[in-house]
Amino acid sequence: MSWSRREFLCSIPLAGGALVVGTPLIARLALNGGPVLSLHLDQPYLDPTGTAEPYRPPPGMRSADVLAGMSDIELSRYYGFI
Amino acid sequence: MTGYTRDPTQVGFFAPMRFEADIGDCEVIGRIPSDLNGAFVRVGGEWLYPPKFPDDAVLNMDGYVSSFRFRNGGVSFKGRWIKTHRYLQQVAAQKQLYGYYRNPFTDDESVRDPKRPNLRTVSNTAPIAHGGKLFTLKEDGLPHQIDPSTLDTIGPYDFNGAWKSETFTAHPKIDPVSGEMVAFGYEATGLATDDVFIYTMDKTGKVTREVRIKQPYVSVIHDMALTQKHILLPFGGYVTSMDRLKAGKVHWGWDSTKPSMIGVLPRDGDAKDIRWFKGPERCMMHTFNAHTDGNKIILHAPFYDSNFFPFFPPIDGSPWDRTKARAFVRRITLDLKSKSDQWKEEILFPFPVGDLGRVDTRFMTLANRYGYTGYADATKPFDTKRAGNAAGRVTNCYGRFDFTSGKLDTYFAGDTHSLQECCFIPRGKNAEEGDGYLIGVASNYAEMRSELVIADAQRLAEGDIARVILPFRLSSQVHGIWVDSSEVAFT
Repeated sequence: MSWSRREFLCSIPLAGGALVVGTPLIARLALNGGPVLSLHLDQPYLDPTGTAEPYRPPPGMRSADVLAGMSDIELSRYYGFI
Repeated sequence: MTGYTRDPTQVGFFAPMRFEADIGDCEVIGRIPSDLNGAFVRVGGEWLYPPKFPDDAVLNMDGYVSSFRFRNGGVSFKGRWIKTHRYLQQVAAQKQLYGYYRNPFTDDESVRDPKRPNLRTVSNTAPIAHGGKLFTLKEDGLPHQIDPSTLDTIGPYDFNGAWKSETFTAHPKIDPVSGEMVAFGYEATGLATDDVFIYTMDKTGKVTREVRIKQPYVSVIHDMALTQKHILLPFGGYVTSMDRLKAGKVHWGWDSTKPSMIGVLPRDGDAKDIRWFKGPERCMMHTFNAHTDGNKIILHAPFYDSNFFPFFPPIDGSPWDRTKARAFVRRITLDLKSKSDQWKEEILFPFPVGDLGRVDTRFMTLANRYGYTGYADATKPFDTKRAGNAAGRVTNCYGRFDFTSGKLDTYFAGDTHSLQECCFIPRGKNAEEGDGYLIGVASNYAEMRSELVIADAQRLAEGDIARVILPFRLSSQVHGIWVDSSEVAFT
């Protein structure tokens, strides 16, 4: 999505107000076609058009991924007791 | 402080934690058995600062003690660094000062002291409670006394000056009949020395007996076994020398030409009474239990076929062979009446297991039926979408191995979990063997947190009774024990 300079400047007051007022009001705005605010890892994501899908974090942290890329020697060296 | 990010493997679930923690009342799923009053005390390692050498042994990490304290149906958690001399030196310097595992010649000049190698201990291997005191242990130094309630480090302990070895095993054994503790130190008089000092302490912790022996060749004696009549010292394969250490190498190398050995010493014997049995190439790290039956000693142990640790490489330059780094539940029979110096060995279960074997400690030194340890069951599911691709590298089950019948009972941790060492807690002092709980810490790779699982040890297939949920990861445990409230003074 590309924004014009005018659209961007117009969105600033709305975004600031949304962060201050909080999620309940944002939800009502969303129902009215207003902006949508999502929070993930304590970081806000604001969609001022109200057309985007709410952000859904991945279902798992996949924190074992590091194991697949390791050699047997590396595995034993670093994680001998996992 | 910098340096961790140089290592691409210190990421994901395995990134260093480095903080101390307290949770007054932990989240619990299920119901904590109301008869549990004591603490599950764990010891393991964390790199306080990144290692000086990237190929150093994981066994060289700074010691960390944690406890899950059970009382009144609730659980609190506490985690603390073990404040060894080494830890304090590094905190003051704000950097890693120590070199390779058990090689002081590779240390920073400010702390280098090869004549006092036990000052380098990280005390990161195992806890033990005896004589009303709680200790953390590592085989290259003295025990460190720990306050059981606060986990504050009180300091190194030499049994009021009666312990003369510079080192103390990570695996002393407590005789449940007499309350005595038998322990030993190898490399007892300094680096690469063949002196082994063996001690008996009465139930109050007072040293009552000392025997000094020579080891046939200097090697790791990591664990021991105790019967009502004998002390067993198993070792094999690992070798060291002052030349090796002065050359700046890690403490141990593997020599496949060396026999595995088990020393047998009568508990009331002297140095001249020790008898050495020899066996094939084996890596003999941990034992389950042993007992004396007439002229025979029966030892159950999850020994490896060969070298388990790639960071202790073969001295002949050959590559580490992962296919031989497999542990099996073994029964070893030592015939004291025979003139042969060989033992009989049987593999009781035909699949590899984790070698961190445990038993109901009320039956230590006695004939017992069950051993417990973790193992990987590839037929169980693993959710790679949520937990990541662990490439099958998970310990997803605890097993209860029946030494008598050959029956295996299994606890499955879940499809996003891997298990650390387990621990058996008896339901009560008079319960029959195996009647109690099996507990251990599980790594939840999907939720990036650690969970203490508690299962009925007689109904492992039914899964958890309860899980204690921590909102963070725990670093790897090496060993943990159950400390009943009757053993130490909790406040």
